[in-house]
Amino acid sequence: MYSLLPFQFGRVPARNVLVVNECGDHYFLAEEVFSSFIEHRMDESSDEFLDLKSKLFLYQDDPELSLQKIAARYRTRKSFLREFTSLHMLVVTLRCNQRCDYCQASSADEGASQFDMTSETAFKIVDMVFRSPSRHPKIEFQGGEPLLNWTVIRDTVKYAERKATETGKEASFVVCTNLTAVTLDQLSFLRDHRVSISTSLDGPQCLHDMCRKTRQGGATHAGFESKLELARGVLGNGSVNALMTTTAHTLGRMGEVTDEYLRLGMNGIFIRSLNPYGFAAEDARTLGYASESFVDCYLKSLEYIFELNRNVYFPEYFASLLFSRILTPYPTGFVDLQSPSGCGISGAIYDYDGSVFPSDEARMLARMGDRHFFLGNVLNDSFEDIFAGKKLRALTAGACVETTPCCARCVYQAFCGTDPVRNYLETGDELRSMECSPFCAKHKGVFNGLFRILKENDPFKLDVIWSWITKNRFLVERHENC
Amino acid sequence: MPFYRRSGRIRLADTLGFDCLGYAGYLTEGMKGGLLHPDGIYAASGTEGVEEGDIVMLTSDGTVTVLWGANSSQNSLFVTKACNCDCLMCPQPPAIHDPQDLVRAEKVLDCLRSRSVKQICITGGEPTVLGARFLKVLERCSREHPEAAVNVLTNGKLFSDPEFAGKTASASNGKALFCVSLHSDIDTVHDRLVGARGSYAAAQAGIYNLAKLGCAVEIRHVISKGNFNRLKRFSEQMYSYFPFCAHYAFMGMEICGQAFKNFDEINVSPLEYRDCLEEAVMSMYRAGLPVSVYNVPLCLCSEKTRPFARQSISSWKNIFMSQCEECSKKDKCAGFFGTSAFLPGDLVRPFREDACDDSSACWG
Ligand code: SF4
Ligand code: SF4
Ligand code: SF4
Ligand code: SF4
Repeated sequence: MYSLLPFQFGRVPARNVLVVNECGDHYFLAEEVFSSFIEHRMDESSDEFLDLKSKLFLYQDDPELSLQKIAARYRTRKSFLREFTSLHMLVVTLRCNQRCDYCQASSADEGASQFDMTSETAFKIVDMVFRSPSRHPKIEFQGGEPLLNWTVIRDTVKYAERKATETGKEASFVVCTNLTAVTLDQLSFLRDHRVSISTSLDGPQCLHDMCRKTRQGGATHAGFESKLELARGVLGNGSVNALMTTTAHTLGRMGEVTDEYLRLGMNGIFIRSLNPYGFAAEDARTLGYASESFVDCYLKSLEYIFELNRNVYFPEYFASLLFSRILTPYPTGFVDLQSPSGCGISGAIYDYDGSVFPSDEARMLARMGDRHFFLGNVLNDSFEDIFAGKKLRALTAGACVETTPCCARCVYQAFCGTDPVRNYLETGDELRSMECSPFCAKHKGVFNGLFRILKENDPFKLDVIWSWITKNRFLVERHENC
Repeated sequence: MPFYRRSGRIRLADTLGFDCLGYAGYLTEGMKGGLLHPDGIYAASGTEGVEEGDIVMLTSDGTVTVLWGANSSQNSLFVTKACNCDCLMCPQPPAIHDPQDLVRAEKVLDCLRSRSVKQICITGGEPTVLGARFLKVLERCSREHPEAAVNVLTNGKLFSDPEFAGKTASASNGKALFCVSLHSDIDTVHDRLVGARGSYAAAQAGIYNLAKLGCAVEIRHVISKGNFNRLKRFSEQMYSYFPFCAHYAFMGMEICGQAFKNFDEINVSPLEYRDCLEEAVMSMYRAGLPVSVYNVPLCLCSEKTRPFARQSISSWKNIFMSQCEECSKKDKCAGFFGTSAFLPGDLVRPFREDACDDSSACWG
């Protein structure tokens, strides 16, 4: 006699049933065993039965302890909610010294200083940042090219440091820059104030220069590489991280991209799909691709990166993050993929004029004329108006996988997330059925691939995966250290 | 020793003289004392096992028991023989509580007052069955020896009562380590091994209660025939639902007491569980949990398990086989329980200096 505890299930890989319980523990069953399990005729002395019991898919006698354990892990997984908004992105200017193909709509001319944030606005934002309950606020300077409004960055960092001391909080800073215009003085300041650098690198010269161009349409890779070296010289080797954007050009050439990351001494790579908003329709045709093609290339690249890890510790950060959700009981903060959605409650973006939006896409949408997601302006509205107001409450309440059509019954529910802004962009509604959506096609495809890898149960890959999750490079025996 | 401080002490002397007056007792290999001398033990043999500062008990039958070794780091306060479990592998079969055990433990604490102590282990039986009297001992340990590491060896069941757990947390002043035994990821298996239904549920609820109160918990898992095939699943359950513990220990069995009586039912050769143990240890290590293996000799561990094997057997009952003399790893090896009625001597394989078996280099 046994009773079932709540779980989701799906067929991954074919002829196998993957079951995932409410708090994210998973197990694979053969089709016939699964049937006997749900039909309450499972052999209670079998290993599978005991495994399902151990992993809380069923209970015998009293459910009390099982529920207590599920609750404990569930609470831990959702504990990112307790921190509330911790990522604060400041668009300190819309100006940029580059004009990348995938960014045309959002970067302004280098001389257009009316698109700069003033220090007054920036300080108001910092005041707001420290009103959030988060004990570890992270302030990220974005643009355009934020370094073009350097004085505001400098003054804001100093102001925020004072606020952090006053409030006893631990603030961290990131500047997202294309690096090409950075100066030695700026780098020294960033080092002295422990501001880390996040930059963009799309691959080797030919691939990088294909999209990332100067305002005159010239190449940027060479300039980037020399500035990268300069930055490392000042800030130290591990101080610069890079993000890539996958376009139709790079999609089939991910190996070259990865090699370039290695050649330039990057700590790892985050293979990111293209954000489909913010550029003109004709570019969408040349740069865009279907989610399915992305998934294909992503999973192939992942195999390539596993092989690289035989010789060197080199994580793919997206896989690392998702595996960490799948294999550990801990929460993993990732604003773009959580439930409830991280929009506004985990991350918020402040436009140059002080307008607050729940995500960058929401801000772009406003630039295109639809201020649907506008939460308020730091110059006129209070923290409570913006972050505890009706608008953000309603947005958050409606943005949970648990209540989204399709997701509510999806086997990946415990690991996936929602993006109400994207839903709105695509359908005019914050909540939609995820069936056939590009968002779902991408994530479901990636999850399918990752679970196939787990099912393989290859000890080498598992060691690599855990070395990424725990950042313990010694988990993998490599020729380099013997 | 000034006269006024002698009354709480026992004098250890080769022969008795005037300088032996005023003590609570004496211990000598020489002649019996005179009228003024306190009661004591004379013509003793083996007194070299007793050192200055030890706390000893003299019994009228002439035995001397060292209750507390001044230079030992493995001292225990044995508070009761009683237990609310009846484990198949208990090295010390539970019996009804003898009040003398607690009195003796408290006397040891009296003697230790104002001494600097590094480590105190509260054990039994099951210390918590003493209720308020256990709390008092724990409270004294943490208050009188704030610098000591206090360990409580327990089956954890009574901490399922939040009120008792709360009182324990305050008595321990947030410092004690609660070493809770958990022998399976499956309730029925654990309950069968410990001979009491409901123990698994109570122990796990107890661990949650302790953790909620901020108490440090260590998990102790004794490997036996009844549970070794699920060692890896045990590791996974610990990581999934109890990842907050301070330490996880897999322990080889001491074959004495009940364990000897139930030998056929519970004994399993280290060679038989070697692979399962490796999987379990590696699964915890991968996930970043602090894991150790206690009581398993190095040559009976797999290569990957070896770096996690500790010298864990109290020195007074720690022995080695004759073959061990030639072994190059003896100084790092746990060896065997001298108290065990059965030793897998034929399985022992000494390491040689020149053999390139050293795996630890890659696991640094
Ligand atoms: S550097 Fe950044 S902000 Fe500037 S054009 Fe390129 S993508 Fe846009
Ligand atoms: S988006 Fe797709 S993969 Fe993610 S939970 Fe929803 S249905 Fe599942
Ligand atoms: S081993 Fe079991 S029976 Fe023996 S004292 Fe410990 S809990 Fe009690
Ligand atoms: S031979 Fe003896 S000392 Fe050497 S590892 Fe084996 S048990 Fe230990």
